[in-house]
Amino acid sequence: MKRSTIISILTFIFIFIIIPLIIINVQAKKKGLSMGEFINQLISRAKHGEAGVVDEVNSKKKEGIFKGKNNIEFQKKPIGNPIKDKPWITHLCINDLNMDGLKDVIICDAKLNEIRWLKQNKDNNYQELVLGNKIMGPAQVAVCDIDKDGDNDLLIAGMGMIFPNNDKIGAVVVLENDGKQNFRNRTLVKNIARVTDVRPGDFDNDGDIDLAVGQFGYDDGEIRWLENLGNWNFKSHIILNLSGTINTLVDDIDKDGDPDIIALVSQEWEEIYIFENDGKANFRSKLIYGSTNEDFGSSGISLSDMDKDGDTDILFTNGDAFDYIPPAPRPWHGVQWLENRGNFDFKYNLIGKFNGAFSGRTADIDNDGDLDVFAVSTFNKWDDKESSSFIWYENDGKMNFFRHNITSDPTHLLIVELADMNGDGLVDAVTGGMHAYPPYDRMSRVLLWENIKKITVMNEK
Amino acid sequence: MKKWKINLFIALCFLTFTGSPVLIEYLTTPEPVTRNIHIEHFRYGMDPSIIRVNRGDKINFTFSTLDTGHSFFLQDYGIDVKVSPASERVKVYDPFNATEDPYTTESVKITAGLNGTLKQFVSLSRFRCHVYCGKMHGFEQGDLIVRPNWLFSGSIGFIFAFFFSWYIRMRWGELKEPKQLKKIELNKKNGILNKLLKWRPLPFILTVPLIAVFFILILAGLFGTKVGGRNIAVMLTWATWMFALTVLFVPVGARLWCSICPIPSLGEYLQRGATIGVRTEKNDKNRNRYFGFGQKWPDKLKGPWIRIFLFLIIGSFSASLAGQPRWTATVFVILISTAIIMSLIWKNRSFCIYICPVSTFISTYSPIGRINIGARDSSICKDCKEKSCLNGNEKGWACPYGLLVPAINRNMDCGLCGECFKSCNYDNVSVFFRRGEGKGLKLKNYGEVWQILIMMTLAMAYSLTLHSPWSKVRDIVNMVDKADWNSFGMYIFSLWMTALVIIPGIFLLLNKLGKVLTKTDIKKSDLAKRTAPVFIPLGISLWASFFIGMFMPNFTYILMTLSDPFGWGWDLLGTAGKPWIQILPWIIPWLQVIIITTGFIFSLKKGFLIWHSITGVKRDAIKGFLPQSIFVLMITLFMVTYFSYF
Repeated sequence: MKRSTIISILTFIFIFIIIPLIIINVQAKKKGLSMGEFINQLISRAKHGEAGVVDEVNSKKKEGIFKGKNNIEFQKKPIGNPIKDKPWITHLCINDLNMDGLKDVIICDAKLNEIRWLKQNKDNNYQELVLGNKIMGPAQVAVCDIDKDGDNDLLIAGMGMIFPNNDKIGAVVVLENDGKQNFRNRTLVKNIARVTDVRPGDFDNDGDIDLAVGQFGYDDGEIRWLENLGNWNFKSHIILNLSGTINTLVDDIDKDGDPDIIALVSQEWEEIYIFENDGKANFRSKLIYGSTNEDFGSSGISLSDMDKDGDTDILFTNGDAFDYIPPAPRPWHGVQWLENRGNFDFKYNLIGKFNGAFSGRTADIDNDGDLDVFAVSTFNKWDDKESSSFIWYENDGKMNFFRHNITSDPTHLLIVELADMNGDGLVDAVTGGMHAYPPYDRMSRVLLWENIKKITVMNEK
Repeated sequence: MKKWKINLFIALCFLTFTGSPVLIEYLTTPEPVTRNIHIEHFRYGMDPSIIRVNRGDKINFTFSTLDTGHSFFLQDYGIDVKVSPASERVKVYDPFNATEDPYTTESVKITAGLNGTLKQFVSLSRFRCHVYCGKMHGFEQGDLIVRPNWLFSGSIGFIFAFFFSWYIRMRWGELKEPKQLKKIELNKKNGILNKLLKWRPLPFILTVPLIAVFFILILAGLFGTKVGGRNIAVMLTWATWMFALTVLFVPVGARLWCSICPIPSLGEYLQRGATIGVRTEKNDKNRNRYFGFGQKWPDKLKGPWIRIFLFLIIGSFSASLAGQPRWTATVFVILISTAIIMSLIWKNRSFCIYICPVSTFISTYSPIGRINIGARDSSICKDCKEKSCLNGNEKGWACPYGLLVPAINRNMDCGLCGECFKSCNYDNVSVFFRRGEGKGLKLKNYGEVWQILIMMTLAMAYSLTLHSPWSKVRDIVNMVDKADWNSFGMYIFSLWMTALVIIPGIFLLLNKLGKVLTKTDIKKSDLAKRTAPVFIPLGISLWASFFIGMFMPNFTYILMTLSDPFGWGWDLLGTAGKPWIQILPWIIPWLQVIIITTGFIFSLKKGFLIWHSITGVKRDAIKGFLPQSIFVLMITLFMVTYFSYF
C-alpha cells in the first residue's frame, strides 16, 4: 500500500473516529457516564428531543392502582403583609429563626428583592420583618449557622433577575445574624451566572461549613462548591458547566460518611446528577437520571427516605412552563420519585401527572406511618376554575399513590413547605405565590394551611 | 464640452443633490422635546419597533412585556433594560459592564443622539433583545432613528448626485477606455508558489482540516445544544462562513473556496480511489482511472437551474435554518451525501457544477473575483496535442469541471482545484491576479441570467425579512415556532414570483427598451446574456450588507461557540462565558450603505461598458443603458432607504 494511502486512511480514522471518541470521552467523563451510556443518551435525545414526547422511563406503577382512604382538610390563612402588588414569592423555608420555640417563615420576595422574616408570635400571628439589605432576584433561602456562633444565619441564592438572563449577575449572599436577629449582608461570591440554590455541608471534612452552589445561568450555568477558608473567605471550585441548575441538595446519599451533592439540571438537559464526594471534596459526577424529552420542564427535587428502606430517595417534579407563551401546562408534567437501589442505581417511579408541578415535599400527613407527597402548581390551566394549585398524594404504604386536591384558589403557587407550625402535632403547610402571569383573580402571597385535624375517611370501592 | 465645465456641473450636481437633502434635513429637524415612549415587548418584537426622535430629545422609556422576559439592548446608548412580566419596574444594566449591579427603575431616560466626533453622525441605532426569549430570539430587533438623519439624507443625495454626474460625464466627457492592466502572474516558473501548486498533497492538506471542521459542525448540529446562538453549527455556518465567502473568498479569490470545499471532497476521493495520488489506466497513462459508473451528466439537466431552485428552497427556509442547529446539520448531511452518491454515478464534479446551491452563490459572483487561472503562453496550448489539463495524465487528474485551460475566459466555471498545474506537461498554467476591469463577461445561457437576478432578489429578501424591524415580517418566515403556513405560503409565492418572474421580466423589458432606443440589432437572448452581469456588483454588495448585519452583532457568539462548540459547558479557548457585545453597532448601517453604494457605482460603470461594447457608440451606450441604470438606481435607493431609514 502506498504511503499516501496509509496517511489518508489514518487521517480519516482520526477525523471520523478518534475526534468523535475524544469528544464523547470528555463529555461522558464530565457527566459521570460510560462512553456507551453517553452515546445512548445522545442518540435517544436526538430521536426524542423535540417537545411533545412523554417521558415515563421504566415506570411500572401507574396512577389509579390505589383509590385512597383518607382526606385531610386544611384551613388557609394569609400570613405576613397583605398583597399590594402581584406577589413573587420565589422560595420560603420554615425554621425557628430566633430560637424561641415557635416556627417562623423566611421568604424570598423577588418583587421587592428582599428576604423577609415572618416571625411567629405566641398568639400564632406572624409579624413580617425585613432581613438585611436588598438582594437582587432572591431565589432560595436556607438556614445554617455558617459562622458557628450559635445563631441562625441565612444562605441566599441571588439570581440577579428571576426571568431569563445569561449575564453574570448572580451572587451567593449570607445574611449574618448577630445573635439578636440583626442581619448583615455578606456577599461571598458575585458576578457569576444566576444562582438558584445554596446549601451547606462540610465537604472537605475540615470542620467548617462549605457551600454547594447551583447556578441556573441561562446559556452558561454552573455548579460549584465554595470552600470555606475562614474569616468569610471562600474559594470556588467548579464541578459542572451546564446551564439550568435548579437544586444542589446536600446529603450522604451513598452512605459513606461524607456529604454528596445531588443536583437537578434543567433547561435542555433535564438531568439529575450526584456528585460523589471522596471525603476530601474531590467530586465525581454520576448522572442518575436524564429525560429524553428536552422540554420535560424539571422544576425541583427534594430528598427523603420515601420508601423507608433506610436510604435517601429523590422526589422530583416537572412542571416548569416559563418557556411557553402563554405559560401553559404540558401533558407530561407531574410528580415522580427516584428509588435509591444502592450503588447509584435509581429507579424512576411515576407518582402522578400534575400540570405545572413544583415543589414536591413529603410528610406523613395522615399519620399512617408512610410518607405522603405534596406538590403545588405554578402553571395549571387557570382559566378552568377547577384546576388545582395544591394537591397531596396519599401513600398506601406500598408506594401506590392517590391524589387529593386541596385547592384551586389561589393560583400560581411556586413553593410549599411542611411543618407543624402551631405545635398541635399535625403537619401544616405554608405556600408562596408567584404571580407573574395572568389570571390575577386568585392571588396569594404567603398562606398558612393549618391542618384542622379533620380526616375524612373515604369509601373504598 | 470643456473639461472645466463638466467638472463644474458635476461639482454643482454633488452640491445640489447631496447638500440640499442634508441641509433640508438639518433645517427641518424640530427642536428637542421631551417624549414618553412605552415599549411593549413580545415574542419576537417590540411595539413600537421603529422609534423616530430628534437629536437632543429627552426620552423617557417605560416598558412592559406581553409574555416572557425580554430586554431592550441599546448598546450605542449603553443600556440593557431587562423587562419582566407582571412588573412595571425594570432593571437597567450597562452592556459594557454586564456584571455591575443594575439599577431598578420604572422609566429609563436617554438623550437622543450620540456624542463624539464620529458618533455625532450616527442616526440609526438598532436595539435588540438580550434575554433568550425563544427560538427566534436572535432576530428580535428594532430601530431608534434620530433626526437629523445624516446617513439617509446624505446617502440618498449622494446616490442621486453620483447618478447624474456620472451621466454628465458619460454624455459630455471624454470616454476613457478602461485600462487593461496586465495581470499579475502569481506562480512564476521556478517560484515557490508554482512548486507548491504542483505538489500533489497540497489540496488534501488544505481540505482535510475543513472536513474535520464540517464534521464537527454536523455533530454539533445534531447532538449539541438546540440554542442556535450557542451551537457552532449555526454560528460558523451562517454568521461566519457565508460572511467570509461574501466579503473575502469571492471578491478576492473568485471560486477559491471550491478548491478547499469539504462538501464534495469525500465523494471525489471515492470517485478517484485516491486522496493524493493519480490513477491511470494500465494501458493508457493519459487516461485517468475512476471508480463508479462514470456516467455523463444528462444534457437535458445541464445548466444552473437545478442548483438555482435548490438555493431558492434553502433560501426560503433560511430564517428557520439559521435558528436551528439540527436543520443546519441536516442540510450539510444531505449535501455531502448527495455529493458522494453523485460522484459514484456521474463523472467529474457533477455535484458542484449542477447541484450545489453554494456554488450558485459563488459562481454568480466569481466574475468580480481577482484570481483566475489561464495559460501562461497561449501559443504553447495551441501546439499542445494531448490536452492533459482537460483529459488528465499520470501527473494530474482530468479537470473535474471539464475545462480546457486556454479556453477559460471567465471565473464562473473553474473551481481552482489546481489539477491542471500538475497535469500540464509544459508548465504552462498560471494563476493570475487580475487588475482593473475585466473583459466583458458573456453568459452561456438564460439560466445564468436568471441566476444573477434571482440571487440579487434573494439578497434583498434576506435583508427585508431577517434584519427587519417589523416583527410581523419576521413572523411570516419563522417556521420554527410560529409556523403560519398560510402566511409563509404567501411569502414563498411572492418571493418565487419576484425572483423568477417579476425581476427577470423587468430586466427583459428594460433590455427591450434599451434595444429600441439604440436601434441595435443584437439578438434578445444575446443582449440578456451580455447585460445581466450589470447586476453582479450590486448583487454582491447587497449580500455583503446582509452578512455584515449578521457577523458584527454576533461576533461574541462566534467566539463563545469556538470555545464551546456543542454548548456542553466546555471552555476550550476561555471565551465561552464572554458577555455579548456587538462589534461597533453604530457603524453597521454606515457600512451597509457604503457597500451598497459601492456596488451601485460598479454596476453603473460595468453597465455602461457593456452597452458601449454592444453599440460601439458612446451616445447609444448611454441611451441603451439608461433604462437599466434607472432600475439599478431604484434598487439602490430602495435598499439604502431600508438600511438607513427603517
